[in-house]
Amino acid sequence: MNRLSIAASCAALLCWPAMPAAAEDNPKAAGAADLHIVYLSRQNDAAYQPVRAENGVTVPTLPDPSPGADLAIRDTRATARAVDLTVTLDRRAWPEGAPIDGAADEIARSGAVAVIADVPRDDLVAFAKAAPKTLAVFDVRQHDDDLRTGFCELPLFHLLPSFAMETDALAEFIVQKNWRRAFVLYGPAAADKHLADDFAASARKFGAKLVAAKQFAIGNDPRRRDDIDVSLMTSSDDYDVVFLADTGGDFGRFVPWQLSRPRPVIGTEGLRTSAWDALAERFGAPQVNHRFARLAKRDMNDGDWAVWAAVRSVVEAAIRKGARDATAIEKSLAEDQTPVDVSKGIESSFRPWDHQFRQAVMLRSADAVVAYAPFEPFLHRRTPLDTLGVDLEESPCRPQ
Amino acid sequence: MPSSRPTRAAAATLLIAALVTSPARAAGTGQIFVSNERSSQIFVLTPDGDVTASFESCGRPRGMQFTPDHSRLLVACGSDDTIAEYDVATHKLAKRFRDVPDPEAFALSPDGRNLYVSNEDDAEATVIDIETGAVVQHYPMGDEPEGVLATPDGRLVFVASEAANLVQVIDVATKKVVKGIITATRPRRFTITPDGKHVWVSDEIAGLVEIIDVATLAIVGRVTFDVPGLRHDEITPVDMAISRDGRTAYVTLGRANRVAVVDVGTLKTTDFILTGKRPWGLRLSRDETRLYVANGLSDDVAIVDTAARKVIKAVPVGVIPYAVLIDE
Repeated sequence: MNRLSIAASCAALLCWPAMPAAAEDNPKAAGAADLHIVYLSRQNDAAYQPVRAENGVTVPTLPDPSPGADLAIRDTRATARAVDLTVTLDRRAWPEGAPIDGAADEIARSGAVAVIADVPRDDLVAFAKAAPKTLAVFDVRQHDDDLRTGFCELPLFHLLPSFAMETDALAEFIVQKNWRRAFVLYGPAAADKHLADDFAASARKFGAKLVAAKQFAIGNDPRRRDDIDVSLMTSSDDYDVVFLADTGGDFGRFVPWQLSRPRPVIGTEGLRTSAWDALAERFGAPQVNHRFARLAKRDMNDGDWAVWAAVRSVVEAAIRKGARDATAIEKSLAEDQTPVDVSKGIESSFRPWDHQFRQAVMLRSADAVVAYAPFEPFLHRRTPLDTLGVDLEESPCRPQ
Repeated sequence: MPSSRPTRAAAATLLIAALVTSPARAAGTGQIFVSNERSSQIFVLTPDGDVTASFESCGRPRGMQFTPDHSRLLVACGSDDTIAEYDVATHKLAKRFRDVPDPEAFALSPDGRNLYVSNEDDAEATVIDIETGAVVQHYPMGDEPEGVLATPDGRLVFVASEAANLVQVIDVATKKVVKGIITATRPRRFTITPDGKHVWVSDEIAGLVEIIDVATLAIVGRVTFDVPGLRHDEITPVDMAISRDGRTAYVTLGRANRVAVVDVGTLKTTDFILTGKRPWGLRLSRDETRLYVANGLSDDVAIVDTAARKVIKAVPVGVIPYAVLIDE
């Protein structure tokens, strides 16, 4: 693979001596070159199994997001053809129960240079640790902050916004609205507490004030009504907005109508964050949504978008920088921060320190994308996108 | 340029030819047409900015163009899948080309016979015979094709695919896509220098304009816009106009709320003019003393005095004005 990329850059120098600008931007490969991408999933992955309705909470079954990869390849086909690049995608569903480290070597031997890892968290970590240097790995599913801070040395790129980016987006929203006093209500799950903590940190970062943070319990025991009755819990000091962290989604459905004061709810109800939404109306999103719907016969969600953006990023590195192997792809994306257009207004790219995809975050209600974070009043010396999430100074990771 | 000055006889011939091929052009009603994509209206202004008429158009009108004789106004209507033809004098609907999927921009061949339409959803450019309304040709394009330009010599058609970061060039005679040119992020619109040698393409998200050499079909230069006090991502160039002497270009900068003035010779930006919120389409008056700029997010058209480089009037129009066209 190394030989190929050298050949490509030589050709660029030889063919375009008079046009350095053009040569720099679109290296022309000598003859057709292949870029092989593997889409890795787990057979019978629990994430995509039907969820039984419980207590009236119906969670729609999550669809397989791999059509996002097909769309990205179709979207980039004409441009790839212009530089004689052929992109191939191979789907691999690793058997249930089999250790996933075994997949790493096999995939590397197939000549693949990039892996779109649509796998559970543990598999992702195991796979990234086992992956040889010839594979760049793209996480298209996880939001966990510790995956961004705890595995700095792995060749792992994260497409979806981290939880910190999402709570930062909400904190920016309430501060620019001057709804600075926030009341935090969180549930019994560990994930609820994590989310509430992330929001507290975001509130501090942007200058919102936490009036109170209370944990709710689920039940009917009148002796525990101080933890169960939302009206009682929220009748304290005044606040402008309620941040709700209820990842279970049962209790939270009623919260907007049970508050003691008529205040908007954000978090897991009301105004929520998303990397992508089928209702997005700006920045060319309707066209992407329309293309996806025609291809997959369903709406495009954030998972589909993450897969689409990951494949686009790899192909973009190949088209713009002539990257044909994992090292060159990593350099182009993380070091050179090659811009990728993901139809969210501002050009996206990967952060060199933690390989997080910097991007606008959508804030949506039940039937509209209401706003895109970051918001105008918040500035950053590099790009306003870096006001969202863990900045270089706060991250334990360093550009490699 | 004395060497190119036509002899008296040749000039007379040229004049006659002009009269024969474009009789209405010489007359020119002076009307300024403004399409408004959200309110589906076309506004009509006088050169001084008085609104003399507005009429309901087909749904979501965006790109507009005159037929070569200026008797008809062609309008691309995205939500109706239509390209409509209005009478320039009476503003009455004259003709419709239906089943053109979500048209935004298009170009008319210089002979006025063929419409080159970009179909955003189908990644295609279609060619419509303007007399019969028949689709005579399909060209597969990159994704989200938008800006279309037919060179005045009738030889080439340029199509920009915004999601594919690609400009494709159609050779009209051989009916083939002869070149794919990779651009920076989100190429949107074109303009051509008066000498026909360079095509300018605006890259909206990358925030620059790239210059394509028509002879070699390669990118030979770029214009960047460093607006003092603004960040790179707030600069989103879209529409462009170049003065007839080929020296000065005007570029709307979208989110930067300004129009850039560019010295074509050096490709350097010499000035920025604040015009309104998200300037989109723009046109120069024939005498080049005025620039008309559609401000998409402040629902008005700014009239700029090009000598003073200042807005002299802002005219409220419909909702989300998109393109400006001047009949003179």
